[in-house]
Amino acid sequence: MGRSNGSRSVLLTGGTGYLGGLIAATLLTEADVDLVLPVRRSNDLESLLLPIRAEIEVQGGSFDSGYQERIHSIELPQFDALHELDQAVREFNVDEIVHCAGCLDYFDRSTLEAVNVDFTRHLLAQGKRWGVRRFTYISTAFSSGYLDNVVPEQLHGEPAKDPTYYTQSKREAERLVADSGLPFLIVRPSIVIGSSRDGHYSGKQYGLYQLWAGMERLLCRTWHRDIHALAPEQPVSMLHQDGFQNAFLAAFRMLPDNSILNLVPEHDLLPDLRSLWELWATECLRPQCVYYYHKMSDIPVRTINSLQRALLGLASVNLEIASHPWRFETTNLAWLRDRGLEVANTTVSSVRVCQRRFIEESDVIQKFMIQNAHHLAERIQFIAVSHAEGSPAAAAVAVD
Amino acid sequence: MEQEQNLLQPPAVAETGITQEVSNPVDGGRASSQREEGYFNLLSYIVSNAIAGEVMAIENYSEMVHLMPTTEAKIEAVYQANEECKHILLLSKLGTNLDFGVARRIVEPQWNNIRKHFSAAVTRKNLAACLIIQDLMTETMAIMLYTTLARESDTDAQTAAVATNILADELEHLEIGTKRIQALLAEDAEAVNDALVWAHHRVMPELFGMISTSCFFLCDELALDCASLCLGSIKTDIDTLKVEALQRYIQTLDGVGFDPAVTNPLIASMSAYEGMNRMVLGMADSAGAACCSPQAATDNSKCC
Repeated sequence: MGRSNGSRSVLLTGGTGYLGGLIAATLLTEADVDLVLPVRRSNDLESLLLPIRAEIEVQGGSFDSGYQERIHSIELPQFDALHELDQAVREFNVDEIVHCAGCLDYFDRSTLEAVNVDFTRHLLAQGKRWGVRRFTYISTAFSSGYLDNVVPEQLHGEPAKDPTYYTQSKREAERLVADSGLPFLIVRPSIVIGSSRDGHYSGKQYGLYQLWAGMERLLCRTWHRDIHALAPEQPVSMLHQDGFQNAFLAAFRMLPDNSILNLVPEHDLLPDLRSLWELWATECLRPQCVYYYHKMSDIPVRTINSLQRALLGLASVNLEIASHPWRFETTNLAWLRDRGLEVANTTVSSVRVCQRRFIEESDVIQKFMIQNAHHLAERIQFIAVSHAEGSPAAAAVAVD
Repeated sequence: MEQEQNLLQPPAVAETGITQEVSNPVDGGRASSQREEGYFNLLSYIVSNAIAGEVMAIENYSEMVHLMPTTEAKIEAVYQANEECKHILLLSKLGTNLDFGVARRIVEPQWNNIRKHFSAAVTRKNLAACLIIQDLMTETMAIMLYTTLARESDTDAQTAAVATNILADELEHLEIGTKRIQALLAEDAEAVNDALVWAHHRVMPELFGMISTSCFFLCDELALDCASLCLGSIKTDIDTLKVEALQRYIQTLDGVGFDPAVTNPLIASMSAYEGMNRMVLGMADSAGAACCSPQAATDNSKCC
């Protein structure tokens, strides 16, 4: 799609980030809107467009001048001075807001509060002043905190425990959105990973990529005979980025106002944490033995290899989140599927596509595999260690 | 200018009032080391930062003395401060022998930030937090640094000798601190765990921010070109150093006996600043790359 008729614009926050870039690419190619992107500092347009251009081109599109003319970069004021955007909002005829900016640093409570909560609050207030017709908020599937039951497509109450301040801040922001009086759409994606088609991924190393990057960085220095892994047989809710884009667009177009969408893939096909470790062990590390533990507290962290200990520590919060038995209501997603939405399933095979791309693009891993070719095991023994059940159960898997 | 020159001169032993004799350097000075100019520039940078850490350690141990519960412990803390003074002399002498400049004061702001947190702990009479900041966190980083410099095959004979000498002291300081904290843990584990969490979030980002060849002011002080500093001169790189620092820190925490349920979230929080968050495809962050400011790099990575 080339140039729009310019009749309306979407103000998109976080457009230079990963999910924001995916949304920008989707709206440019699939919707008849201009994009107004507030960015923190004045950048040259080329660097601003880079991730959006790359995403369009990697999907086989051509980023022509028509797209470029539909992107309007403006400087993001202080959060309490968003009225300074008034002129741009009028000039570009902004009638809708997609709020994708967010802080992902689980442990920086003040920034989480400032960006995820306060910024949202200020943007909602301005959205009302501007009279936008809808406010779309990109949240997270885990905003409920830890629940024992199915995560509903409703606003959440306070859980007994939150994985991080991040989930708490997203839940708080959702409430602000719903209570604002503006028509809204809340989209809650689970862990977004690379494309199901070719595995490409342009995000930062969060979620699964944090674990892979940690293994690349810490476990690919020398070959490890034994690997100790936190790996309960718990499905991990990961969503391919092309699925995210398709579902976002469908929700943006079709869901009625004041909807909440749990954007998660088909649960029964999801790989579990154990199969993710197995995938990495067989395609990269090739140790002789992998020990699976059901809980972090079962792992003898003081006696295992210090690099593995470091990895388990660095990834501990995400591994804990992944170890929880999440189940999600998917009524709205089913409704969209009934109207033609296709969301790629996340399976061991589709994750392998992403993992292979990650491995192929890593000089560190390539070097590791060459230098340690003589060590890499042809058969790997997988041993499930359970303190409760007594002696470990073992299974050997041929990897070639 | 005169002041700057003074800063770069090693101190006369008599000036400090410390009569401990500095180790005899290996004969031959820079010429015998057969190393290139870039190597000595790197040493200038690293040693100056190490001296700043030692200056901070003197002040920390001195300030901690009155929190110590017994006379013996007070004397021990004074002795530790004295040993840190010796380290400054050794490092300054190394600079003289190998003919590279060293700054003998705190230049980089991270050290002052850590001092500020330490003083806050002193004000609150929180001995556990003081011990954790100085004896565990700072000493662990010092051990990582001196272990790296002590590898003669990667540095040179004089540098390795000095580093080995200091390393022995720092290991002893860590051991003393470990025992002190273990004793406090046995008395009140919850209070010590709280102190660890408090100190970790304040001090570790500062310490890891200094594992870098980018600086705020130090290169200007030393008249060095930041961009020219290359850790390849000592056969390592930033990421390796960060991984080693991370490993040592975790080993220290585990060695003290902290519960992994307490330490794991702390370690996980380090992913924000210790090197886990680099971009995969090199897509530019909207705020651009950090230049000479680790804090800026951290800030820029927070939002998407």
